[in-house]
Amino acid sequence: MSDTNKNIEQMNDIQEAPLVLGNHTFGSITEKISSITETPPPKGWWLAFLFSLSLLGLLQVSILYLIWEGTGIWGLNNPIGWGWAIVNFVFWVGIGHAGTLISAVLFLFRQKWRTAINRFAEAMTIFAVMCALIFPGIHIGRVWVAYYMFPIPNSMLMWPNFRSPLLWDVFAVGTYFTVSLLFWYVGLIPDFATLRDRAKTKVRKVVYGILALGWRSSNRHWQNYEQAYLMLAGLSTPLVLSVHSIVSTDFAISLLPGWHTTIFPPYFVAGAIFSGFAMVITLAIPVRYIYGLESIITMGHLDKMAKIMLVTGSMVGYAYSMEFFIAWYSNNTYESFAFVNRAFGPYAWAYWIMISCNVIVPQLFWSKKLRNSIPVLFIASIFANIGMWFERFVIVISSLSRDYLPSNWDYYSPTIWDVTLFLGSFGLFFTLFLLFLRFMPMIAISEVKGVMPEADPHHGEKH
Amino acid sequence: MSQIKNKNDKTYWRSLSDKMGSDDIKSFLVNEFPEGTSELADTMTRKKFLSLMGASMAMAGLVGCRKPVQKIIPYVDAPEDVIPGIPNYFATTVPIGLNAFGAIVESHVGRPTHIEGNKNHPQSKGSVNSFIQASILDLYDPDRVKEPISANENSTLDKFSDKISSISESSNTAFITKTINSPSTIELIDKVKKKFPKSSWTSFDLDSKENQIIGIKQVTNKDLIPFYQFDKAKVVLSIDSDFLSGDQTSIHNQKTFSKARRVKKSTDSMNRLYCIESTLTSTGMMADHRFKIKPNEVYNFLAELNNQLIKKGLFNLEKIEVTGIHFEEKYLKMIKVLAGDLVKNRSKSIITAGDPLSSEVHSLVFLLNQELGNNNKTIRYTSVSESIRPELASAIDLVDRINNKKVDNLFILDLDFVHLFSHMLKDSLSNLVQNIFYIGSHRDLTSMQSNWTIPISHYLETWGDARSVDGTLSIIQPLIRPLYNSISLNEFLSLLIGDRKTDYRILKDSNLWRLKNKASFRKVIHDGYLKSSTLSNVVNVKKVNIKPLKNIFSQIRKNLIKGKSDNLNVRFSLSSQIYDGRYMNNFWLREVPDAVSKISWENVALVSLQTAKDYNLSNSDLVKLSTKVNGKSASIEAPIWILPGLPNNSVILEMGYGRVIEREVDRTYIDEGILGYNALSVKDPNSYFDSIELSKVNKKHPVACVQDHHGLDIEGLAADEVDKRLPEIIRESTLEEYKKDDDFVDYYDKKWHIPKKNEDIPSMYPSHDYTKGPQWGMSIDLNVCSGCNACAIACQSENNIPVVGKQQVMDGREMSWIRMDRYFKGDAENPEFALQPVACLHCENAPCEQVCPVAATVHDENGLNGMAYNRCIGTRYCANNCPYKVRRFNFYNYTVDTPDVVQMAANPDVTVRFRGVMEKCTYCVQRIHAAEIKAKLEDRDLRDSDVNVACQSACAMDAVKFGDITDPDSEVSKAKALSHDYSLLKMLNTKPRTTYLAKLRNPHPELVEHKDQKEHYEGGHH
Repeated sequence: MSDTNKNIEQMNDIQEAPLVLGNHTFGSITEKISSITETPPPKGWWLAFLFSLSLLGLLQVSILYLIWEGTGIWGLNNPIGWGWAIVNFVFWVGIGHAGTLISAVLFLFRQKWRTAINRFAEAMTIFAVMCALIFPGIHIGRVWVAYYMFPIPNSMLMWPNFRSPLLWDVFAVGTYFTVSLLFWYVGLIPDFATLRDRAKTKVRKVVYGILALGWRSSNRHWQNYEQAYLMLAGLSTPLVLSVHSIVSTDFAISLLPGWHTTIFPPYFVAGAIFSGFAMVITLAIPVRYIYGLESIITMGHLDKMAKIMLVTGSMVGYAYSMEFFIAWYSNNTYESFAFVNRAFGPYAWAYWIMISCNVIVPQLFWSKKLRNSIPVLFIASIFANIGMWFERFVIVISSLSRDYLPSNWDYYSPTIWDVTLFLGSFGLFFTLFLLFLRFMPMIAISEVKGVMPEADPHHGEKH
Repeated sequence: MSQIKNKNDKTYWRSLSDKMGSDDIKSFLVNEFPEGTSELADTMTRKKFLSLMGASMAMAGLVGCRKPVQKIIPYVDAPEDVIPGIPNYFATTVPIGLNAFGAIVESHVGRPTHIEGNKNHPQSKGSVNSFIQASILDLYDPDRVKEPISANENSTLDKFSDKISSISESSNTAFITKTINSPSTIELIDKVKKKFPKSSWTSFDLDSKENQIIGIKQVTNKDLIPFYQFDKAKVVLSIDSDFLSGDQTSIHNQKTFSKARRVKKSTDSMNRLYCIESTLTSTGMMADHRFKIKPNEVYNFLAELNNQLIKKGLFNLEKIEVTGIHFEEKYLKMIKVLAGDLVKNRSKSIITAGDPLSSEVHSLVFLLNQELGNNNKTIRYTSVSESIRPELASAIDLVDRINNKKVDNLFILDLDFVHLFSHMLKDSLSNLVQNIFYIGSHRDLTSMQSNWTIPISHYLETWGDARSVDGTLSIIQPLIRPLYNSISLNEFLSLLIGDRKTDYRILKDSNLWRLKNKASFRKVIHDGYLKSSTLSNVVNVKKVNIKPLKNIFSQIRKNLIKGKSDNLNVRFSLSSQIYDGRYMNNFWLREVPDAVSKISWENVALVSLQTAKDYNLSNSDLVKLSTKVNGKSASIEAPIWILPGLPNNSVILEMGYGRVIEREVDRTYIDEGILGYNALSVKDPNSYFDSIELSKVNKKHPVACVQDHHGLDIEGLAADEVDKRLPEIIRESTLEEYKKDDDFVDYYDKKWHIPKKNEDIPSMYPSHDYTKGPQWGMSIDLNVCSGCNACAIACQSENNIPVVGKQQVMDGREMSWIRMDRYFKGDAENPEFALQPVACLHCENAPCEQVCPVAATVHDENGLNGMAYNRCIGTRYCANNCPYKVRRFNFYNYTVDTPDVVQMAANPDVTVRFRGVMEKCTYCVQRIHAAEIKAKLEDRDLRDSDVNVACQSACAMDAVKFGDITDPDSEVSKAKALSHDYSLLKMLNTKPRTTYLAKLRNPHPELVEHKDQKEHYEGGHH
């Protein structure tokens, strides 16, 4: 044992830091992660769960009242047909980006550090996309005929309009959700089997037994599993790019100044990754603290995520400035006004919140010291999320509020129901997330083992 | 038959089964009608049975009507019976004040739904104004008084009749009426006067031409009012006169004015409109030169003009000495140029003065017109001597007598007396007068103080006649039986003399119509008016010798104001929405934004920007306005609204609002407690302006203004942008420039590198095939649009557009399919104005269609951008992507509690939209389809003239042309072929089917300011 440690220490100078700290063994990893689902949750969990659950109730009330009374309960008006609901939709879809990016793209790029965070990042993705999916469903005027959007054969021989970006959304987000869910589940199978094997109660045995799909850890299983996982990773990777590109076409395809911009697809993807990673950091920091997972989700992980935030935040900043440049360069007065109006018009406050949170705050992460400061990371990640919500707010609302004919112009202010619906969506998200923490292995046990020194008989030597 | 009338309490019916439900009718059918039914039944053959049933069914229709059966005659064609689904059209007449307008009413299965102008009637010429258009809603007003009311309890006409007969002839009886210009009513009134020989008669209206009539009488000794022929005038001077929309002859004025205003080619001439205003009106917004004055400065203006005219050669006029200089140099120059322009266009000019101006002003204006050779040329005069006209002095006298308890019986005929005079009454009316008898439509303040309230029938429920100002005699033909237990004014008067005749009998027996034979009477009913009576009241006025009339000039001189005064003035005006208050309960008119201020639902205190600054006021600030009326101090609280172009130190108050009406029906989205304020309580009845004191109340009162939705004072950033943008959106030029460069509209297209006119912008997608006719299109002439809202109301009536209420309007959710954009240009003190009606433009490349995920909005082969309401799921994406923002979303179920009776006003050819559905202008697709079906049945191609859309029919300015753009001879094709036709936001390549004709102004060359001053537009704001 001491030999190994020595070797590792020697290699530290030229190699990456170890991904799992502390004196973990395979067994202790299993014990550490599985026991979270097996022992009663800490008090903090209960508090958080009850709070989330009440927000979920708020969501329910908000939706029921919306369906009962109509979209008039929101602050929408005639030029501003989309308000917080669409802002929230794009916001949640954006958050739902990090999970698949971490698990699929980083997997393909052999970024082993992903193992500690991929599981709950993926869970976050699934839940965020679920939150996102609420909004397009309920924001429409006649909820009860929402199914018209799906290509269901019908007696009217009516198909949806395949030219409409909203329909592309249906497919893009739907596909993304399905593949992400599958990918997540496939990754969970070996861990479900672990939980099944450790199960002491009948219920756990049965439930985890079913979920584990008869996994016996045989060589053949592992072979098939790894192939399936690789394939799903391959499938998911283009989706990471496509889903937010498609969402951005909701705006880019239109002819509204401020929406009609070709930069939107890459800019939206960058923004989504930015917000996704911010959300992972926001969640990871309390989770690793409460469940004592500092040795598995190490500062190194947080450091890397902060770097990604720095990169994507800067990309977003670049997109903001490029929008302005193009608006000016195009010599299209409507276009340039849309952007000047964003920065200096009635929504300037929202614009500058967005700029400070998304462009200025991530610049802190140039400093390693700040990247490794838990409070800084936590606060910055929350700022990033606020900033990204405001980015969508600015795009959706400021553009709509002042378009071509000045007599159309209007101002938008949300109503209480806009706010409750948004808060409620956090209720759904956190309820699901807390249930996930409680009942599922929040860290991919089998994958973490794979990146531990013990899994590498060559002691990191290349051969 | 009379037992049916009494026992069957249903006063209207729609179907036979509806009527057959009553046992009365069943037994009646068997026993009485048609004769011989019972005997024949024994030997019934199939054929006989069928023919008998057919006959009984057909005649049951007649049975259903209460006796006496009067045939009403359809205007266009006479179907044998009412065919469900196919409307019938009947001619009738809408009396408003001294005038009466011929109307054609669309009736669906016995239910009138839409009013259009009678093409042949000289006062409507096929068009209507917003009041006439909206008056159909008054018929179905759920808050109408439904039964005679006595002492707050429902009563009957019989009891009322008994009560009347008990009135002793010697008691002090007073009658007060509105303006009446109906021969049969006047005849009846004469009979009532005989019955009550000691009675006093008074007439009162806020909209009164009394001063004008007196003024002209002073000169001519005759009761005359001017009848303008604007089509013959090259120069028009309006002195505080809103002749285009605030006058009883406004339709005629609009029709003739627009003829002289419209420009088709660069060789056309165009009239020039000078406006002197103490408020801001539609007419003022149309002016080429507009000068704002305070109300009392009108004398100074007239004096200056008079003197300038003398200088230009009208030597007959008497010089009015003006000491000191009152007007700025700019004004004086304008007056000089104006005088020159008037003299240059002798007998081709018009000077018109507003009704409320004093009589000496009208006298002088008459003389000026005479000297300019306008009388009998551009201005004809019509005699109104046969009418009952408002007489202010007698109304004030009546109020005095009431105050002194010298009136025992007061008959109030269809005017809200308490609303009009409460500020002059010493006590509540019921304490001052013993017996108050009121015939009116609503449970208003007058009704609540009256001992008796008799419900009055709507004109669509009555037989009657009316005389137009030009003398045309028209017939008021009912379209429906009275919905409630109401009677017409004629029936009421007949009841007073103990006759109790029906209105039909009264009409038939009246002196005027008695002698008409059946065929000619039928013809009059069919046409809606008596052809031979057209222009029968027009008289030629003799030239008056001015010398003996010196006192007119000296009176003007006496009234001159010397020096500047900074006193705050209040100026009262009639509402463009609810007129004198009579449309207070008409929600279409309440909600339609005011033509000028764009405020809906309420009145406000309008002030200029400078005055607002002086008094430190901003929009929606509540202020207290106090003055003295009759020596008593009076005050009201009203919200301030700033309107550029108003005279400084002046507050404009609209009369008519604040009328309290007891309402029976609560509507979710319409807060019926919103009343506005009663401006009359600070008005001295003798004057339309007064001095007033203003003090700020530290409160805000939210105001629903549709063109200031952003609610922020427009910051410099946006103002600059609007400044840049508007010349492109509203393209305009002057006549002079246009003659030099008739392609001026292309300037802004060139900026966007758009290919030549009529050449398409390259597109990635192949375009649809729009070559096969008919291809529908529209052209709107901005040059003649006066923003009068007639189109908006017509559209609302035709297309069942819901009323949403003040709160929803404030939230930016008004549903009107036509948005009347109003823009100011120039400095806030003396702005120029531009109006642009925008409804769905039916783009060939419609951006809305592409983005709808469910294909609920699609194009048809005739170029219509259609909306499939059933398919619409309400994503609102189409509205977001519409660059013109003409789509309207049903955020709530606005029709959720529309009372049944109001639902009867709905057009059955148009779906009532549920919440969550997008809607917008359809080019009246239902009318297009009806015309298609008709053409198909007649086995012919659809002609351009087969389809008239609602806004087009309503527009008295003929600004809207609609038709087939593939037909080169259609009106719309001709309009679109004009060089100043342009597409709104053409660079977006949406290819709109509705295009605009650019606005032209015709300033006098000597008054054109050099363009070194930057032109400055502001969007709906100051």
